[in-house]
Amino acid sequence: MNAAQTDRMDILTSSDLTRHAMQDPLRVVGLTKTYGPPSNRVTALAGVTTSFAAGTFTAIMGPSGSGKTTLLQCASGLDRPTGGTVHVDGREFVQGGEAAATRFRRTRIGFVFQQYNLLPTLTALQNVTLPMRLAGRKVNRRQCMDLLEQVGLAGFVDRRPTELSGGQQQRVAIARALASRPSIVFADEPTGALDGTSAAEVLSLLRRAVDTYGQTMVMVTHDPIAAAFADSVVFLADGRIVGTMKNPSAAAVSEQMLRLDLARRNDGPR
Amino acid sequence: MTLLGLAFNSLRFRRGSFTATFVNVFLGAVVLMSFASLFDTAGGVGVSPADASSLTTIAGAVGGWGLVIVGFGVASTMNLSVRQRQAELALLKATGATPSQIGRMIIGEGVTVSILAALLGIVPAWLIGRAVLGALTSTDQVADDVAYRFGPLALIAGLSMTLLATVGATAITARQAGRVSAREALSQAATDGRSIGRGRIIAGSLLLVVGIACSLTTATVLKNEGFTTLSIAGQACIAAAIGLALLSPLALRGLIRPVDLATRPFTGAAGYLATTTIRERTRQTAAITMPVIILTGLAAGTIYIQKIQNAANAADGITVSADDKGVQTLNFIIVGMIALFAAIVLINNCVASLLARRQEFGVARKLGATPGQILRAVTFETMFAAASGLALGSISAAIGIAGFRYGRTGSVGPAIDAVPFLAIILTVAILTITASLSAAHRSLAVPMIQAAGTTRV
Repeated sequence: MNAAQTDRMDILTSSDLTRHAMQDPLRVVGLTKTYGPPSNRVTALAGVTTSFAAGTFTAIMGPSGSGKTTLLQCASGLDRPTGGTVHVDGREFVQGGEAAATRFRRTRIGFVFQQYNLLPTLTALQNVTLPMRLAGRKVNRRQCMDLLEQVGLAGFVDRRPTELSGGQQQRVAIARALASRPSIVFADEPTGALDGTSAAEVLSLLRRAVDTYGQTMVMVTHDPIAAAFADSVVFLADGRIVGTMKNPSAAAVSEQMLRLDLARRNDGPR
Repeated sequence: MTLLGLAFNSLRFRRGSFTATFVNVFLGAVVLMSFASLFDTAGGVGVSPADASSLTTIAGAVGGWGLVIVGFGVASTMNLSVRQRQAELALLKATGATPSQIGRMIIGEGVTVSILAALLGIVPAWLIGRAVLGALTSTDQVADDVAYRFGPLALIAGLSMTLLATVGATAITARQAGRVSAREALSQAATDGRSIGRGRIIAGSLLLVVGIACSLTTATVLKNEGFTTLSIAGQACIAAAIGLALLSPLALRGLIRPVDLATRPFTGAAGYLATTTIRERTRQTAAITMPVIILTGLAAGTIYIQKIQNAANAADGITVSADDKGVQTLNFIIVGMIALFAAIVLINNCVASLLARRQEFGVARKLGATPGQILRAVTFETMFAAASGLALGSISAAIGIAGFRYGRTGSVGPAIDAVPFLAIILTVAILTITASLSAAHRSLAVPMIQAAGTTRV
């Protein structure tokens, strides 16, 4: 891929932006995040504006330190951005206290974490129903059982996380993320702790959630093979979007990542 | 290198988590040494045989049960702290440490902390021992010219007994830690305490039987034997309390089901989180229940037994002698110190268990639990633990009181004055709630994306 191609992709992004409207499940505008005192400020996000259309599967990639995890945390309400706005289903995420932020996101956003984050005291089924219980919603047990069956864990509903393998735990986490029918699901390195076979299973499940339920999915990853499961890839470097790619293949993604690494080495770290 | 080197390293870097053990051993050593110094005093030159005998009786009465309770308190806190380090210990195992090496490390840590704590306890023990002797001479229990001595017996008793308690407690804990496979522990092994050892059930049942037997003797063969009856009734309360404390995980598991069913409509997700935690980590909950049982059993037992004695004396027209008054004061001092120790263990266990759950709270927050929901869950858990402890403690006190009352007055009806009992309930409630909520607040003050990470405290 050459520079012209990258430019063309950037144009594509901005035309995408004008195309969609406020109804996209997730839209971030001018998102910034800085750490540290003014004298020694570290910029993790330097103004990110983008939008994720309904029923799409987007991978966010970039070299380490590019701000991809920060983007996920700020966009999902786990962390508070320094500037900019986040809109979920056209409604602005009001950055109030933790309780208010939690109430806003827990009915709209689902999560799949690298470390699974299952509560060890709960069974697989109880873990799946937990977000709904916390939100004070009625628990649809039947639907949760169905979801566990669909992720291939029909016989494991009463097992506790310690009795499950890593791949099985992550599949429980996927069922949990989908159970409350959120507007958007964020996956943070969902295959980071898994072996190749389990990783492929987990990625196919995410893909299927998009294809079957029209679930909108945003996944942060550093793995080009994982990114190839997505519809498009957003590349981040130094806290900015530096390119996107439609219908990514693992090879093309790898190549682009190498280019970003190279550019970074030439510029020197910020 | 020795795992002992690693132990020192771990002590230096994880000072916070050893504070609980340190405080327990320190206070325990103070209690034991201050009373053991009365043996030294009794052995001093020019102490009359009668004085020496009073002193040794008092020191012996405290020594026995005081030792058991100190050992128990140190063990429960130590057990809690090692349990919370399972992931770290598993990492050591995974990198090739044998179970016996890990055991030596844990015992090395415990012993180092204990020696430091016991040594620092010498000065306060000396001061308290002198004050106790002062109380004894001013109430004419012993002659005025008896000189206070803090000597080898106090030191040997204090240091060896606290060390023994620490080594015993850590050895049991280390054995448990050693049994867990590296894989189990690494995969967030947190559903501990689902099994309750048979040894624990047998020991608990035996102590409960001892308590009931003591109570029966005060009602029958040993009634109206003055100080002896009084002290055996007190021992009935203590034995029953320790027995019930050992059995408390069983009681908690039995109680949680009906409590869960009754409260579910009101407590929502917070109650759900709390009840699953209590079910899956009964031993963690029991670490709060156990000191409450001992505190309640001991305090309620002593106060009511003394009240019954006073009321019966008054009814019989017996004027209370200065001697009796002295015994009463001393009795309260002894019980007060042990109750204080139990209260400190209670606070320690509340704080230690909640601070260590920071990561778990972080995960729950990420999944949609508001800080308020977590605080409510913690309140539910600790209130359940404390209320169960109050109930079981009251039973153990009632065991001692009933026998004594029957022997002394011929009836077993309940004591009428509710004020001391309400004061105990209030004290336990305030201690538990304040300690738990302040610790939970501290755990929640960490931003959630950091709290849920794998970084150590």
